Amino acid sequence: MMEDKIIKNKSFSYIYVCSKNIGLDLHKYFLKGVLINTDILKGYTKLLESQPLSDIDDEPAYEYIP
Amino acid sequence: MTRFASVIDIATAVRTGEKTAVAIMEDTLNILHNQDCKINSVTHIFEKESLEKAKKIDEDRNAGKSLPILSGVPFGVKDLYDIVGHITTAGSAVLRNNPPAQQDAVIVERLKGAGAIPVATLNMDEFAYGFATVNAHYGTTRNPHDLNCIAGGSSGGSAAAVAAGFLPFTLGSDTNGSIRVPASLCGVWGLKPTFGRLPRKGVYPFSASLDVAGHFAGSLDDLITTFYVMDDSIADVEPEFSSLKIGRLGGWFTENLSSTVEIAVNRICSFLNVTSTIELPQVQNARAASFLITAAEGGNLHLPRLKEKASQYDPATRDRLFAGALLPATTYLQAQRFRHWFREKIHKILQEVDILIAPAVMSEAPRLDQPTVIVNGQSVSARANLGLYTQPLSLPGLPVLCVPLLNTQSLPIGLQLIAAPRKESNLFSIARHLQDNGLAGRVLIK
Repeated sequence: MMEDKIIKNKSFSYIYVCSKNIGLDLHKYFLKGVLINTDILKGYTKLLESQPLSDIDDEPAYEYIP
Repeated sequence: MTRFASVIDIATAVRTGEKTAVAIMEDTLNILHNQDCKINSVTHIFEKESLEKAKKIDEDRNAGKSLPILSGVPFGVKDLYDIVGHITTAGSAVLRNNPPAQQDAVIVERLKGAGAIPVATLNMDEFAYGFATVNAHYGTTRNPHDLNCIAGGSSGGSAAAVAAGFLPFTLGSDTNGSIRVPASLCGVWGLKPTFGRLPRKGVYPFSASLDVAGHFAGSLDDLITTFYVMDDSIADVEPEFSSLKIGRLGGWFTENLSSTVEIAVNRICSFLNVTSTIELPQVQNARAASFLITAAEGGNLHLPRLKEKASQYDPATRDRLFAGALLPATTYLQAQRFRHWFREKIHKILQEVDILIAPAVMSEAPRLDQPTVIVNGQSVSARANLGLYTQPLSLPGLPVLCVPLLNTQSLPIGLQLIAAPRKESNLFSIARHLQDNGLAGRVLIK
């Protein structure tokens, strides 16, 4: 019952949808830990999104040479 | 003689016949069997194979053959290096049923070609995802300087085995600081070479954009000698230390320092007469990019297994990998674009200075029963945050040497020396100067 309530939470629903998109059947038991880590990554994502980058000069560093 | 003996002393003793390779190996095996129980640095010992190899070296010597440079020198590998005939688990349970490696990792092959003998695999955080070497399957590696403290990770077994004097050198890997953090906390030399310099074939991956193979040693000469064997190259000439321009990293790298670390770094900068302070741009974003690239690539790598066998993972690793697998492509691409931007800025800075100095870790080793560090006034998990000063420097792929500082009146403290790509010899020059003046070297166990 408690677990069902948790899954209805909006954040958990987001995780659930994302995992379905990559064919991952994420067990309810893992949701809380995944959400904590997703929130940490969201913080880092926000930092990077504030970084101005050039469309021309700043290509992704796929074949990186230091 | 074997415990705390150097690579060079062992190789010389075997070559001159002062000791047989078998005697060295028996001694090493005895040490590992009897003295590692409290530290837990070892996960597997190659007893039969290593004795056979030692016997062959003695036979070659008795037959008058010339012996290669590292003949009879025992070494250990982080449990993500392939050793032929052995299952590489990368500190996991989920890979335990994989087939044994068909060949050695290239670096291991080169070391064996030089006569060195792999004797053990060493403990690590599962799949190298952590800074503590707290492993749900193989136990926790303890810091030889204080068994109540964290050894650091993820190559904690490798650092601890050298710090305890069990092995003269060991292999590790560094994605976000996994060589530099344990080298700092355990008081040994640790080298993260330039990204791409040492081959990674046969090294179980974590994050292909950032993974670097490297190693630990009890002495600087041992670290350098084994580095050039692994690099399959002739040693570069070390420049005069006085010819190198040195700058200290400011801002991010001076915040959150414990007073002990701050004093230790100040002392080195004062000795080297470092007067310029360098501010790297957007350091917090560099750390974020490293974090995100690692999470995305690690998550992608493990997704097929996570779908089938998630319960076999350490819960802490599993949840982080899941979160990484769920990252949107645009986040990963933004991080890779930022890496490009950051590279350009770093290269401009390295036109002005040859060496950058920064602390490796913000404090001495945290206690195992209180595995936290203070960041921006908050108490946060050590396992996730000990890489505060190493992660931003992982992104540009520069070579970094972790120097163990002496006479700090504390548990071990490490210093990062950073150079331009493929300029490891610059690092060695400064490190040698510090060592020759009694400021750096393996921290002895009290």
